[in-house]
Amino acid sequence: MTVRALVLTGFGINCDAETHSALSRAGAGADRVHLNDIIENPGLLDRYHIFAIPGGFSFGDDVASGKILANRLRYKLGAPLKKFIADGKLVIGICNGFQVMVKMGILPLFDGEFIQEVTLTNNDSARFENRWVNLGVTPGTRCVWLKGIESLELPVRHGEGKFIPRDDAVLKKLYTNGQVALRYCQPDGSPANGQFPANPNGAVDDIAGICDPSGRVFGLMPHPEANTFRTNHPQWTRKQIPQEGAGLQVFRNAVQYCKAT
Amino acid sequence: MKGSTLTRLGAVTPDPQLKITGRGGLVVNAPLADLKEAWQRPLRW
Amino acid sequence: MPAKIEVGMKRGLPDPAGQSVRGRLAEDLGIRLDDVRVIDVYTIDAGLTPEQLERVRAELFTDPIIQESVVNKSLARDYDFIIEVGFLPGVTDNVGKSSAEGIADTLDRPMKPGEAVYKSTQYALRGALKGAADRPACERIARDALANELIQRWIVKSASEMAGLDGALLLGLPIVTERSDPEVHAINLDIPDAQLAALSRDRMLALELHEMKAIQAYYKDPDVRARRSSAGLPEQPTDIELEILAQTWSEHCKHKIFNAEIKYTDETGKKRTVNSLFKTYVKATTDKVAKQVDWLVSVFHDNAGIIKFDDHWNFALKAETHNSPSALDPYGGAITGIVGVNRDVLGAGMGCRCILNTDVFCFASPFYSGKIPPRLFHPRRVLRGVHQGVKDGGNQSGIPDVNGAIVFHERFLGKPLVFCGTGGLIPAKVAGKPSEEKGACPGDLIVMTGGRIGKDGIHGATFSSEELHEGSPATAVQIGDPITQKKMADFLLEARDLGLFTCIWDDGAGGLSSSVGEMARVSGGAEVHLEKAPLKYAGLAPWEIFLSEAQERMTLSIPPDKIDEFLNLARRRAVEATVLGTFTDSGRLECFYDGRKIASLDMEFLHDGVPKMHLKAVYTPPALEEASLPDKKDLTPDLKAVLGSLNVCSKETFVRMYDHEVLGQSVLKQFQGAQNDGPGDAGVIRPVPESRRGIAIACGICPKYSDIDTYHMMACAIDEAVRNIIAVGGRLGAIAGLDNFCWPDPIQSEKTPDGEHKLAQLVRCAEALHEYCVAYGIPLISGKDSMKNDYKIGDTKISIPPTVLFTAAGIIDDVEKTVSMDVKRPGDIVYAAGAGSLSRFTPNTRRSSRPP
Repeated sequence: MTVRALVLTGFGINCDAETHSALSRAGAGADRVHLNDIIENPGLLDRYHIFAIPGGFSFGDDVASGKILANRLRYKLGAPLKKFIADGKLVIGICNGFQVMVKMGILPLFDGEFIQEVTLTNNDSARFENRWVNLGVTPGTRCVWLKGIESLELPVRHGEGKFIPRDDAVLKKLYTNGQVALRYCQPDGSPANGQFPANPNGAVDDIAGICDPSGRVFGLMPHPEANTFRTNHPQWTRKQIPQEGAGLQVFRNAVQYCKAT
Repeated sequence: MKGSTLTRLGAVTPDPQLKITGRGGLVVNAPLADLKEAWQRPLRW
Repeated sequence: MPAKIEVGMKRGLPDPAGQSVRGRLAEDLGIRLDDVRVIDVYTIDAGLTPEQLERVRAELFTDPIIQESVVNKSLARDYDFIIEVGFLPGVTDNVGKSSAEGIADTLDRPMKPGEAVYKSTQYALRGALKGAADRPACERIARDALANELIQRWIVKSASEMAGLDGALLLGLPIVTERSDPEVHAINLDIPDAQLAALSRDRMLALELHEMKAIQAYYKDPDVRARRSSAGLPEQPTDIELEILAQTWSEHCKHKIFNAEIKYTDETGKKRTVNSLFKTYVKATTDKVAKQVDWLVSVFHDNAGIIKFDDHWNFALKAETHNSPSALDPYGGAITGIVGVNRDVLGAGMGCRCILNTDVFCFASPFYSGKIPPRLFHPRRVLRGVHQGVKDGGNQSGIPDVNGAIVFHERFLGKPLVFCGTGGLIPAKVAGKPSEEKGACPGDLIVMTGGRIGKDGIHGATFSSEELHEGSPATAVQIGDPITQKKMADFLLEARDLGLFTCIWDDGAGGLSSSVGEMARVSGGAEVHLEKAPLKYAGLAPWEIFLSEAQERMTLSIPPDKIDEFLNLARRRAVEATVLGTFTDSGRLECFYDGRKIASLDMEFLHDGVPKMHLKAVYTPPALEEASLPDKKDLTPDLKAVLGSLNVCSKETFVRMYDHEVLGQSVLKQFQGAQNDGPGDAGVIRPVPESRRGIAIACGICPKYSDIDTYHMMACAIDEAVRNIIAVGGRLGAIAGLDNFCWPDPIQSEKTPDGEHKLAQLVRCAEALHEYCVAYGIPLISGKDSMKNDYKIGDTKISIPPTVLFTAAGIIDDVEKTVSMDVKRPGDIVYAAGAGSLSRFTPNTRRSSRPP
């Protein structure tokens, strides 16, 4: 079976090429599809097993990052996307895609309804920054995208990546459900504890990525698609780094999961 | 590199200190952290 | 009645945007406040019902987790003063535009014509500023830190004044009400020379007297007169014709100084004539090197130079400057610079995908403490604004920044230099044909895509061909809209692969006049119907429509049998595309407005009629003394001083804010070493995932050498760029170059009494360009010159140091073999390579005959 992945494009999404390339190299049959083509024909979604919302600056991040694209998806494709998830398929949102997902409420998706429970907002530094971070996969997370991965090094490139839950109850629920997938940490794997630059944005509890209760819907601020070659790693000229960039495994996991189910 | 002139200047050391000799003595002797700070400070906004 | 929604962070939550402003006020203006809160204000002029307003407040404008908001009320509390900043009428309001789309989605109700959303920002200030006496300080904050009066307006209100204004609109709606005269006027050129010169100045034509006289002579030609009268045109030029000529003949577009005949006297008194610096030194370089390399694809005649990357892909490269606009509006000028050069690459060949940006800025010291002359900004503000503009333009377009520099010199106070470069990738073949081949055919339709036309950017081309003066026009300032451009770029690359157009050109300087004028050279003419052009607002004169440099537009030529498919795809991609006319082989560029012919210019006169300049250059080397080094034993403090000097110190704060890894192709980044914060020599990317081939990008720029000798300024810049490429693993024979000249006015005149010397400096510089590039085997594939980088108001004149940015691109066979700059392991041995650098210590090994 060919696992098919839809990579969303249009309106300022700008990591579609490398997300497409990463999914292809992970073994998926991937297509870049313009948002308007899906709105015109939502049935398109039926052909795919994976729906990816790549990073970028949808609508210039005007009003708030991801907000306008989130509303468009919610109003124009809400029902088909709910069905997509209910059908046991996979969704990933990276950076701006993650911002879109939390703002339309496709994450954390506690009860299958699109309700905004968390947000991603201005970094404490009030700056867009591009830097590499260390990430720890939360033990016991249900995230199928991170299966078998304990830690990751990936770049972050955002100005609005500070994760904030609505309240403590939401945060607690995320942990209880195994939905806290990825957290910023120190190079030695110890918690970042909010310390800059290990935690690059001031995210509550160093949270860098969350998933839905099924683990199939995943959003994260760092860019796995930007670490798919050894030479993407900033230290590749200094250290022994495996030929394949660590980020590619995230996409391989998704393809494997689809194949197995 | 054929035909190029190479001049051996020194070696990389494990201790974080830059030492440069010349003019018959040690003309630069500074911890790397001090030099890095001098380099980073002016436009660290 | 317009409604207003105000949104801010919930009380009790920190406001990073406000804190950032507070820090900036303290740092830049020395005003220390207890608190600054930022409130986003959306003024909605769309007749929404209270229920609809409540819905968009809750569902669109407010983040329920962290924000609070109100409709038609004031949100700010506990402050002493409020400053609200909004745009002037007609200025691009990107957030307003996106908000309108968001409202349409949320309410499932398209916005009607005339409806709009306007974004403004409130700054609620608390502490230090209390009473009426502090109002001037608030005005200063607004003027010097929060707003630019060329594009924005503001209002200051104290807390007590606000008491009666709950929910009121503080700023009126920024609607363009000014109407230009829609009539086309004939302009009498049968006037004495002095009046001709005055006409050029008053209409901002930036033409020299002898050029005005050439136009005068053209319109006196009996054949021309006969043709005009039979076409129903006045004998004298129409305003639009004169504007087209001025734009096409501008220094910016025609490079008249680089093509001039120069009588040059060197330092020994020997005289010779240089017939075109461009032909003699630039083109000749490429012609010579072209015999040694087999990878040149398209040089000099397109929007960007194109070389071969591998058998399947070609690589395009271009760098531009945007100095004058950045002086007037650092943010707008710079963002327009970066998205503008992106369009050059999008318009190269049949359309390249942009894959990298470079940025090099030249400023005066941000710590400058002297007086700032009228109309100039403090260098610190220029630096912040330019950086922010390039950052937003690049990041939002999804194009990684791979290399750049920030250079400081006191004379950049008069004009900052903002170099923006872009590289792009294009399949070697598009729709079965070599992708560099393009050309409009007679009968092809003229189609404009992307943004709409407004008064923004009128006279940009002619304005940048002058020094910055009292009357420099505010309309020359534009604000880029990266998202409109991104949508257009995605769409055009899709259309390219479907073979839907025959030629693509950027609407940059000169707007339609430039793009249609250039494209019509291949077909042999064009017919444009200006009333069809989509406008941002009514009230533009026909000449303004044709000359406007409103951003985010490209012009295409489309065969009639492809037009339906093209327009249909445009609609599906939410990109505006409009047929404006037809390319012809009439030999004339003709414009119509409401069916009436308003311009008819011979293509030959338009493009080749500009008279050659005849200039004089005399070189007198400056008398300089060799610096002597003090005989000190401990040089550690000196080393620290060098490391901490502005031109050497770390620029991490700024570079960190550029996305340098989008597209996932990065190999050697700006930050290297054990802590990922050391510098690098050149940026290296791997643009095609399936291949290990790479591209190394480096630059060289040494303006501080110019006062000594511009020959060595140029030589050192080339050498610096080349060494950077070699250092990462590139090789001679696989390096292409770009030259971007920025010069002070080199034409001798009353206002430039040292013009002959400055021109001689230019000649020497061009000589070095030629000699070094030929010696290194580097073809120049594109370049640009900006020749009037002076400031003159009253008695104050500041001329920049002559500056050339040399950008080098090296093709790397295998990126896995590239080398980063950091030392790797204890015990490794450090060598200096090359003879020149250590010649003083090892005189016997010196072999190179070239100066270091």
